[in-house]
Amino acid sequence: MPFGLFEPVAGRRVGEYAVTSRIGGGRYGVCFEAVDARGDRVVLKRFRRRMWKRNDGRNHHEAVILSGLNHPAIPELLGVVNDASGYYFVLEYKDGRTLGQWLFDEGRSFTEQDIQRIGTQLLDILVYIHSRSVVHGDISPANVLDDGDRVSLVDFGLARYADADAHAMRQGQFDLDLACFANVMIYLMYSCPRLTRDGGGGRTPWYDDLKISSDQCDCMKRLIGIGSPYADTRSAAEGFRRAFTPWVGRP
Amino acid sequence: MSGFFSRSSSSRRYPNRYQGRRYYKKKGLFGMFGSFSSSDRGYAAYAQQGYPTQQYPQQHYPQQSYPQQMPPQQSHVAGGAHCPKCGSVVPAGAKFCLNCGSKMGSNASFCPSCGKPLNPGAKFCMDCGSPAGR
Repeated sequence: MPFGLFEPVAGRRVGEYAVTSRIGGGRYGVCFEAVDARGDRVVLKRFRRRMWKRNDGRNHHEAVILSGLNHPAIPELLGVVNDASGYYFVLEYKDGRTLGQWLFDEGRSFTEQDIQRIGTQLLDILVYIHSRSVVHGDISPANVLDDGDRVSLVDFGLARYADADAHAMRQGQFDLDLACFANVMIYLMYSCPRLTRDGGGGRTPWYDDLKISSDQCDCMKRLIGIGSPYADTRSAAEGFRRAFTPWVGRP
Repeated sequence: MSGFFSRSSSSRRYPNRYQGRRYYKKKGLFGMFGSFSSSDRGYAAYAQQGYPTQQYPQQHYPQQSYPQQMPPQQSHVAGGAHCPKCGSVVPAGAKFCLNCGSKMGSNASFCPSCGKPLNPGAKFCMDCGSPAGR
């Protein structure tokens, strides 16, 4: 039977949910927007059977980790549906577009103030999840939503609990998230015309290319893993806040 | 859980630290996951036709076959509770049975100190040793 025959289309029911549209997909499967019985919007994350089988023994991490997190910027796990049309996680709907959509579909230029706001909010989320021993593991422009006011962090498919038998920061677990966070920030900075230069081949590393202060450059280097790393996520968030406060209010 | 961070795939997930404008102005690898590649789709179709699935020598987890649409009974997950409705093992911490979806309220307890899931009935966190606070 070809895969996807039972993939729901708009108007179809999955459990108690009515599918309204397809949001996006990845290697793991497809995400649909749907409404529940009360009319609230939810996201249905449908797993491809093959990916589910291939990841046998690791599939439960996302459900367990989301069950243990409670933060306004992280989607809540609302249910599990296992019926003839497939296997789904039901997740809270978060407003906004992904940073990848803003950057590459809308061609948006982020202002310094936007970048400072997104960075600060994202680090607040990271401080929270790291305090709950969770490593997201897949922070990218595709997994950060922004509605112009608040950011949300989605897709905990690669998230894991940090090992407890050694200091997790030194063991290079939480710093994966910080490095990926810095990478997302650099994407945003390259969208801002005031921070970028013209000319050259485009191969100059970002720290020699972006027009940012030396404090900001040092902070970004420490986050991405050049130079001495921050002791923990809280001090990384504090360092970021200190370095990027000058951008508050810059349109 | 252990061994996850020692797998080579986790080191591949670190970004290259020295990229420049040419990399950041383009929709990078993350855009790849927005669509299925055609070769991938073809492979998926083959896998459905009952061809023997290839066993990769480096993947040492046992290959088991499950009836279609049934998520694995997570028996290897330590300390899981049993779902009162379908009887399958639910990993500690999950709010819902991963097989039938019924709500597992009492199963979702987490260490107040480190945030990791607590085994059902545990008085102390197996990871950090803090009292469970019940």
